[in-house]
Amino acid sequence: MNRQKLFAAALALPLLGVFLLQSPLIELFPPDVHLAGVPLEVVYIFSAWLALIAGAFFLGKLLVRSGSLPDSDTDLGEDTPP
Amino acid sequence: MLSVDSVLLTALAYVALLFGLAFAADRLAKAGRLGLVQSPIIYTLSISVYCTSWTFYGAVGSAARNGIEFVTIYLGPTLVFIGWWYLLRKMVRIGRTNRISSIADLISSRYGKSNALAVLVTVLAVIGTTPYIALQLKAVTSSFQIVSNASAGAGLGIAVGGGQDVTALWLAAGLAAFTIVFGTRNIDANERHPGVVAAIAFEALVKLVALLAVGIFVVWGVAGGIPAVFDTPEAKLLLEREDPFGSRWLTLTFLAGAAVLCLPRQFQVTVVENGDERHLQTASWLFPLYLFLISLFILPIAIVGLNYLPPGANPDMFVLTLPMAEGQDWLALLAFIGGFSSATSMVIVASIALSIMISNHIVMPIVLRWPRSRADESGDVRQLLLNSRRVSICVVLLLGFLYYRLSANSDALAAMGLIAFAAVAQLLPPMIAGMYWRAATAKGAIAGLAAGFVLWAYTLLLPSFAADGNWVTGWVAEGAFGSSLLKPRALLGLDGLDPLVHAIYWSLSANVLLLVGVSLFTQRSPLERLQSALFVDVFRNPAQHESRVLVRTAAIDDLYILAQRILGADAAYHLFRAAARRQGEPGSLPRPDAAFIAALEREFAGSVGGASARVMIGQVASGETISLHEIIGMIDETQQVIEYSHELELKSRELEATAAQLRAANERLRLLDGEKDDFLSQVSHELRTPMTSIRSFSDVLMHEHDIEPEQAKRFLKIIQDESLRLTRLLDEILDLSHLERGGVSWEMAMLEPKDAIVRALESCEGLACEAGTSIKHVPNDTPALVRANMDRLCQVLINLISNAIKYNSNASPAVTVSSAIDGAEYRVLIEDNGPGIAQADRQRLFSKFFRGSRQQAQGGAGLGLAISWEIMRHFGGRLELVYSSDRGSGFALVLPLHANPPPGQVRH
Repeated sequence: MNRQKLFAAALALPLLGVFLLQSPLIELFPPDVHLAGVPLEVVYIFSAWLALIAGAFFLGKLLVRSGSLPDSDTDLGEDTPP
Repeated sequence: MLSVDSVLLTALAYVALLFGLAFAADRLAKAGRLGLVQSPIIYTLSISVYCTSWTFYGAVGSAARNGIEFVTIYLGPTLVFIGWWYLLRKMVRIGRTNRISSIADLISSRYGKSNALAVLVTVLAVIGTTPYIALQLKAVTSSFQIVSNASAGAGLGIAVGGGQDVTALWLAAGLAAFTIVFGTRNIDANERHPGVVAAIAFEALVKLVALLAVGIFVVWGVAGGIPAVFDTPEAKLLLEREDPFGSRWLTLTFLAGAAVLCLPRQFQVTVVENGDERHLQTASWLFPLYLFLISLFILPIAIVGLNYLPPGANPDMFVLTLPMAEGQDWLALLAFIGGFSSATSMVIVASIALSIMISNHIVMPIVLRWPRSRADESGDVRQLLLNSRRVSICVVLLLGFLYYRLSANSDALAAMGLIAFAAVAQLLPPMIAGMYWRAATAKGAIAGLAAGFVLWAYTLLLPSFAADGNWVTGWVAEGAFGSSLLKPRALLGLDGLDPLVHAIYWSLSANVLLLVGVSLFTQRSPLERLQSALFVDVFRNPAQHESRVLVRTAAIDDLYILAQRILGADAAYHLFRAAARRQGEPGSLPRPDAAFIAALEREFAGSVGGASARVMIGQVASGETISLHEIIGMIDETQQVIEYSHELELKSRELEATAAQLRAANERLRLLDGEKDDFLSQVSHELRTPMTSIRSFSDVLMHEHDIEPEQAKRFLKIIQDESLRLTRLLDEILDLSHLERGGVSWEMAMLEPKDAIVRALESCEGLACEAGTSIKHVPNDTPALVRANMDRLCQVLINLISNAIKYNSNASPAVTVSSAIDGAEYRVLIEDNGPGIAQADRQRLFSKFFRGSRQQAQGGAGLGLAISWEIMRHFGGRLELVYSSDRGSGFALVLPLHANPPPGQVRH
């Protein structure tokens, strides 16, 4: 994935989160149906949540590897010598 | 059954452990081994100060009342953190490059280091945080009561009176002591507190472990497995409710997301305490994971609590009462310590954040305005800051305690978590606009914040005070002053919304609308422009660009004294020596150039806040100018590209216009070229006719010898006439070319134009008689003076009148000459009842050798009108065709009137 796409993915991930957890999509998973003893609604919310965390984990690794963050604890406020 | 002493002892031992941990972390940091304290894991754990006792105890209560809804409080921050790349990263970068010390500092710095805005945000933060601190005190005291007083199966969180106030007071005092010791040890350039961070990170672990332990015990120890938990009527009741995912779900998620950005304590741990931007990457998944784990057992605990504990038990205390009911005293103690951790960490960080705001934005500005404390006088600002922070911490905790006392018996505290969230959510619009919208102004931010704050207080805070029979209850039911439009929970009659959604809707709408609206109609000050460029384009414009724009001078000694007072002697010495070395200056004092002053101001801002730092530098620096040109130069590439393409568009439009002009000019040149050719052929033609007759008659005279003298004389007469005509023609041509080249030698004088009219009419009388034309003169007796040459003016008039006579083919030809004064002009109108001038001829009427198509038959070289036109041009007037139709035409001769004729210069 090139850097441009990586940055787009960084924006897409929270939007995906909004779609998964803040849209009528949730209504597709009724609480009265149980999966392994847990209401489907609860299973859905927590697994979507976990999927987003996993996404953030891998995306964060890629973003750091892309070299777009300052290398170390550089003092950003300091004037650099000319 | 735990005794009071054992609980107290455990709590004290735990506090001692925290002290030791904080102390060790501070020692490590001092020794330069920050690496151990500054790990991404510790950073993430410190962010978990988000989970207060409101989470630890309250989440279960919320789940027991509203089912799955409680997760929104943790989903909001999750969405914010997994989108860290665009928002949090920018926030942290801005905070680090500009040495931002609090959220009030961030907003005030962005809007031109406005102190008014800083004070407003600080006040809002204090009002929003105090009840939240009271909530923590209440949580600790009631949990302490329950865990130490109750025997298993009894108590169960049903209010136990007495002794709570003492506990709360001691707790507040202890927290104040801890916060003062570790939160105000020194004024760090970056406002970082490694000891505090280490302690709250540890507390984050304790509360997570405690909650997980309780959760595991409840699910597998009490209920007997996950399916058993959800296969109960309570679970059905909680989860199968109507429409849990409506506007409230969305609003709560949004609020929680806003809170994790704007709560003063979250800003403190996320931005101010951040030591490395890359830690954000770890936090982006680890913090949501922490929230996930915290939330995992909330629902089971709530369901099992409802199922196993007798009705009337306080669901807010299930975490504690469930293990106690099962006789698990040690687990209950762990839960108590967990709740204690979550409460204390919140109070510590919140009071540090608030004390920084109060000292930097309220105390410092007052001190700076105090006439005796000018910067040139001695006095340690550091000590003053530290003391004001210590006092602020005590005041904040005292306020929290008082609030706790006042509202101990009402339900107001339980709702306080969301009310506080809604208060700080008001900071979101000015913050987001400040980071992404360059045109947002301080006035807009102040207007939006004030309106949002007032509406929040009216629609959310006020109704929370409603108790039996007090005036607030009346207002909530009937509306303020009996007006139903002013009902706090149905403002303007907007009914049927959840109270929280209603309050958020009104307050944030007003906030955003005013922020945007006022910003659109107000101007940014130069400093605001600079700051907005630095903030919005933080990834492109490093803070040092500031010195390009902000030019100041100051004496290095004054700066050094100031730095010693704010940063301390050692820090000031090292800072100045490092700067001198970078500049290549010998000795330890750098050159006080604009770049150094800007860097120093940033350094100060880390300690006293942006607005105060600016005032302090301003007291010793002079000649502050902000170069708008440089600011414009700093705006980002996109902006530049937009402007560039806009310029290109303008240029190409200009080019098009120029091309059109060139085409027109070319057209005219072609026409003129054609005219020139015409002119030459016309001249040749005109010269040829008299030449031909002269030649033929002279031929006859030369070769025919038997011509009668009478005949010969007649021929000679013709030759003479023709040569005269030739001379006249050549004279005219010369005259015209002379006029056209501007070489005019005639004398100009003041004269009365009516004299010229009379003279011209006299000259044309003969011609008129010959043609049988009646000439009508409408005299104008108003005295008027124009500047012209009498002979030349007559020439023009004669030319026009004789044309009117000569080319008139009407059966009863008539010419009218009239004159009038029109403003500052004198107009002579010569009208005839001739055939008029053809439409096609009008444009070239005043060209050389032009003879109208209808006058072709008549003689004349066609130079008359051209010469007249040129003469009028030289007089500063003009000659124009006023109208023309087949019933006649009118020519106007226009001359500028001479304003004040000096007497005696009139020449007749």
